[in-house]
Amino acid sequence: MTNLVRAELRALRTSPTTWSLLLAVAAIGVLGTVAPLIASDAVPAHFVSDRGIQEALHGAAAGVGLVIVVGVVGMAGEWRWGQATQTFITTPVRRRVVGAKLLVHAGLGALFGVVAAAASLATAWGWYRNEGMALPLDRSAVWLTLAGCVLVSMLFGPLGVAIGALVRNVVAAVAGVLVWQIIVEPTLFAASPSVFRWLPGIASFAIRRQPDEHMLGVAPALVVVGGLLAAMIVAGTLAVERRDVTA
Amino acid sequence: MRSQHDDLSIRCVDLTKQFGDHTAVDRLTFSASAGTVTGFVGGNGAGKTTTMRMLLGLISPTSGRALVAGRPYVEHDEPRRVVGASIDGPGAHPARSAIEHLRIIATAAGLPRHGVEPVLDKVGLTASAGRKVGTFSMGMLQRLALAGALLADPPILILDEPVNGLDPAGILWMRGLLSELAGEGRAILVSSHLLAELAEVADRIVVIHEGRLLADDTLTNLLAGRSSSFEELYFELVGGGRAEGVSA
Ligand SMILES: Nc1ncnc2c1ncn2[C@@H]1O[C@H](COP(=O)(O)OP(=O)(O)OP(=O)(O)O)[C@@H](O)[C@H]1O
Ligand SMILES: [Mg+2]
Repeated sequence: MTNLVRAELRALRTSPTTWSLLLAVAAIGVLGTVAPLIASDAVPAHFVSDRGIQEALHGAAAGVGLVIVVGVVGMAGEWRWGQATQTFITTPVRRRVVGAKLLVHAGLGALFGVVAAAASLATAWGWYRNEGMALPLDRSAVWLTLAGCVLVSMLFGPLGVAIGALVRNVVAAVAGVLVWQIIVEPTLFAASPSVFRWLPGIASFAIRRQPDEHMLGVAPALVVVGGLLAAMIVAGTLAVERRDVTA
Repeated sequence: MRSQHDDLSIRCVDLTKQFGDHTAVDRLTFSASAGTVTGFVGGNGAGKTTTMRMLLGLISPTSGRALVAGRPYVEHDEPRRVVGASIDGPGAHPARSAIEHLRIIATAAGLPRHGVEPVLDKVGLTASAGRKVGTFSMGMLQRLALAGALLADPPILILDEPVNGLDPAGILWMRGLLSELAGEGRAILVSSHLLAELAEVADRIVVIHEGRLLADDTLTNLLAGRSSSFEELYFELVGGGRAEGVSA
């Protein structure tokens, strides 16, 4: 297992995609933070309220969608250039391959989350200062929002791996994930918040403390996302173990 | 390491694979033993690649057994040290260099990294080691796939059409390499459509047609008492005209 984790890390490290996506996450963290702040016409007192802080640091979460994509590509990509054959010749007990990828992408998710959180925090801090205010770093709203972002990112990396294990076509899986996250869930949630707040993406907003009165509490939201992750891991691993590897 | 496996051979016993209601491999029984090159021949769709995939644990048999060194592939703790395989090309990301591709395999398989350069040298890719695999010609891809197979110096080799795409010099080189590897006591199963070439290197020939075994013997025995070539014998066995299509 350690060898597999090392090989996965080596593959990620030597892939330019990993680094460009990490840069993209940092850039999204900065832009996603500064743009709403500039656009806001709220009174100064709002910016130092819990809700104002949560809104300001919301940009930290924007890279999370990319973490899923990295996970999907990390697993489904095995079938893209015939790497799957070599991978499973090396490790015929296929759940070990899935397990190593889940671990590595949880770690990568944490890294992406920390980078996004740091970018958002630094940007918000600079903006507040520039506006003659101070970002209240001693308030739990700051740290809980950032910690939620890192946690969601850590869960979404392996979720991407599990999705990639189930849907072996990279393009279909990535397109599906993006459409689901960007269009399907927000539309359903807007239509009926009290029902569709149970959707996994919306639940992840709750973990990230997105300010919205219709959100689930953090605990039920964690159960939703954690439950989905567990179910997808089981289904994805079974699919990889059972399916024939033909090129 | 090798003394763990006294039976260094490849063995199929009543091996069968059905895709839906199509039987790709049909109760196939044969073996390939240590120190010999076993040629695996049959027309397009005869079931050669499917058989090799079952031997490598990539496809699960519908029934029967596919054994390498006395066990199913998945039951080996360090399978790359037992079996080397060239199938479906090198399986490398096109943006990765040849040497990096092999290093990743070595890392995953728990093999020492210093084994990578010698094996690139062995297949004649030293000069292209740092080049992206996406820029490789077909023959270079074949050589890289072979490098992956030889990485752990395994006693058993399963090679699916390894000369496909090689230039004349490459084919000659492969002939020498296979003899050398078998001379070192390895069991080699090699599929090919180049019958004359195969007749040069193979000690034993296994012929299949529509998933079924047609012949399994030394080339000498197969040709005994005949004035015909291996090619003519092959067409007699599969009973087809030269324009026969793909077996469905
Ligand atoms: N994944 C699959 N699903 C369905 N049928 C398959 C699959 N893989 C192979 N087959 C069928 O199994 C049969 C044997 O195919 P196989 O690739 O083993 O032949 P082959 O002897 O390697 O042929 P070739 O010389 O063309 O490489 C063919 O009829 C093929 O269509
Ligand atoms: Mg084939």
